[in-house]
Amino acid sequence: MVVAHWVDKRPPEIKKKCYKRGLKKMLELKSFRFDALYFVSMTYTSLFGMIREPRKVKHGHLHDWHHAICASAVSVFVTNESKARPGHLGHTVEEAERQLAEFEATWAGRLPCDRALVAAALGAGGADVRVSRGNQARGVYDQHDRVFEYDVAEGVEEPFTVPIGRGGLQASLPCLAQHLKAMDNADPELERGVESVRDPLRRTPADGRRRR
Amino acid sequence: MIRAYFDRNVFSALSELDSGVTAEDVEKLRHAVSSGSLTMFGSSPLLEETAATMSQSREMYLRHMGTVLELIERRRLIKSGEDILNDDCYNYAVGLPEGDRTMPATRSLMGKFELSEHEPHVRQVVVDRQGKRTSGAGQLNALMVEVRADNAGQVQSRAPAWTSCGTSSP
Repeated sequence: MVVAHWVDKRPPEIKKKCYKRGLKKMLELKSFRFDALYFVSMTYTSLFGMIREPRKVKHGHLHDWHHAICASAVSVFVTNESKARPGHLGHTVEEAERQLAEFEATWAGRLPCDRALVAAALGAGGADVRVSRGNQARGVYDQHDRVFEYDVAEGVEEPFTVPIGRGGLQASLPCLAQHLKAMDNADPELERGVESVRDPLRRTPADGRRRR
Repeated sequence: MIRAYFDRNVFSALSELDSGVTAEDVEKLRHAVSSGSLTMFGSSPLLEETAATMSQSREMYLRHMGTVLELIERRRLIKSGEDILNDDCYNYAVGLPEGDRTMPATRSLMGKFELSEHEPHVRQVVVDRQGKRTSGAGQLNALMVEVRADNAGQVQSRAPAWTSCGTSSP
């Protein structure tokens, strides 16, 4: 549903091709996976909460939604978001399991979805790396091994490999540095002010693509 | 080289030296960035959120924005979430590999955050953005109340949510 919402708003030709290749396969793309996970987590806690009371959506959560998608551009995402506070999702699979147990006890047999699946997804929905709290080494706490591995075996419409985790390919080459500098002031629309950081980029050309 | 994205609350900890972050940690990050072993990317949500510290105080803005602009790669920013999804969708459809999810950042754009020259503008942007986000959150909460009332346990349409969070679909 999450992917379909986005795809359905694309131009017909793009939409058709996406459906042909398969929407589930699009969850292999980090951006769509993070987007979907954040949406699911936000919706879940907003509807049910984790400890009895549904969590109200605040404007900061909308920023976090964008941060989650932006995190797909890099190999390491660092956040200081605490998921251990009441009403927040578990940061790890273990925390999520524990919170879900509380949740299940509260809601008895009315749990709306598969417990193990949700726990795995919520644990993986956390950041790759977070800044430690308390005495947890007081440094950067590596949780990279908890990155969610999406199961692609089910529902693959056709054999089509989407490259993921391409951080290495995005690394800036030293020889490109001078060209990057030369690209300054490339887009006059960005000159308008702070608000133009976002707005001009929202405009979509006829082919449905954004200006780079 | 590590390519990293720090969200707003990390920069806050780096600026205020709280949540276990020390001056030594910040210095290590500076060194990693200057030596080229770490590239920290910024984004429009990060800059917007950081700019919102203006509502607390001018000093806080200067401290936090200073940290951000000192550490992030100033020649490129991560694209907006909407652009990333749009590009990935297109690339997927036509069979291209995932593209670069960053974009050039103009020097003059980054200069807009220099408070000495653009304070009124920054203040206005902060008010506008906060208003839109708060309004979006309100709409989302209304949607959630509606869904709970339906007792369905499912959100049938994502469109209201997207509209609420300001990512108006083209």
